[in-house]
Amino acid sequence: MAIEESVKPTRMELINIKNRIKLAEKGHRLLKQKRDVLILEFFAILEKARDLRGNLNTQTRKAYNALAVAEAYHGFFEVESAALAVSKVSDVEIRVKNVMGVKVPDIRGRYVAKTAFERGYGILGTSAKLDEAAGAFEETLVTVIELAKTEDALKKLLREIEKTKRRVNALQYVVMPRLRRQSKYISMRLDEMERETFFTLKMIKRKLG
Amino acid sequence: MADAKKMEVSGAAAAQAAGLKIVVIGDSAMVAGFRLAGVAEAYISEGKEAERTLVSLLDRGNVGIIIIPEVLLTQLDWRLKERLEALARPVVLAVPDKGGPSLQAESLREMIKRALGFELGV
Repeated sequence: MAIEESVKPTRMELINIKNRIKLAEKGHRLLKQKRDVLILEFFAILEKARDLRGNLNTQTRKAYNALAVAEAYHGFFEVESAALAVSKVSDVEIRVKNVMGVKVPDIRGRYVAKTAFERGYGILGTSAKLDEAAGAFEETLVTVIELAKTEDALKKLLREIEKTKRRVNALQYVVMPRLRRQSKYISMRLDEMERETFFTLKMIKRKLG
Repeated sequence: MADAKKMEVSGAAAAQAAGLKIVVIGDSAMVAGFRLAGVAEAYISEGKEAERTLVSLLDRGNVGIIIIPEVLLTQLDWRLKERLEALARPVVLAVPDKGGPSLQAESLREMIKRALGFELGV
């Protein structure tokens, strides 16, 4: 095969290749460990993400229903104008956390559920229907912030797992077998050359003797 | 020149720390609802227009989380989706619109299958 023929059958080359095999094995072992740690981490947060997603789905359903009721009661434009009057509080803080070389966002929302008085629209002009809708959406927003963090971390971890797995497989199924073939080829060539020399020596010896 | 660059870097680091906005792109119900919850920036738009709004938001520095309807996420171009997945910030999250939860879980399940090599009951 072409790969085998591309290496020189010398003792030095054999030593080099044996060193490379050792290195590849070490790297393979390390990457495998990394992959396992990532997968463990992944499963730890998968559960959380799943719960949050479930929560979000029920919360949004509730919130849209409450909103529909509020809109039916007050009329679309009144709800709209109340919504515009709501005090804005929801800036978030994003830090980047490092999990085994994966940059995972760590979002901190200083978000607190507001009371009806703190919301900012007039209490007198509106009803409890609107408060309910606002409350439901506030709850939803809290979940959204939490889920944004979790789901994004999940996706990043998945990408890294995929990448690591590909590397592990490449080492195991491509790089290492090739190195082993080369080393085998060289040692066989060297043996063959030794036998040839031995045989030639015998021939010479017979002729001289 | 070097100074300006340094300033820019420290500026980016400061933006990393705090004061990032939550932005909503969605239909009128979503926008009204999240405005009631106190989200400062919200755009009513759908389809291609929403996609353009999304892209322009990605390039802006002070956005932390973008909330989009699940329906929009399924309509996006795969290249844009790749980009969203790779970005550390802003985080784009799909939430159900008033039609209820859709197939968003599918994409996560697909990613899990690709990464781990087997199906997982999510």
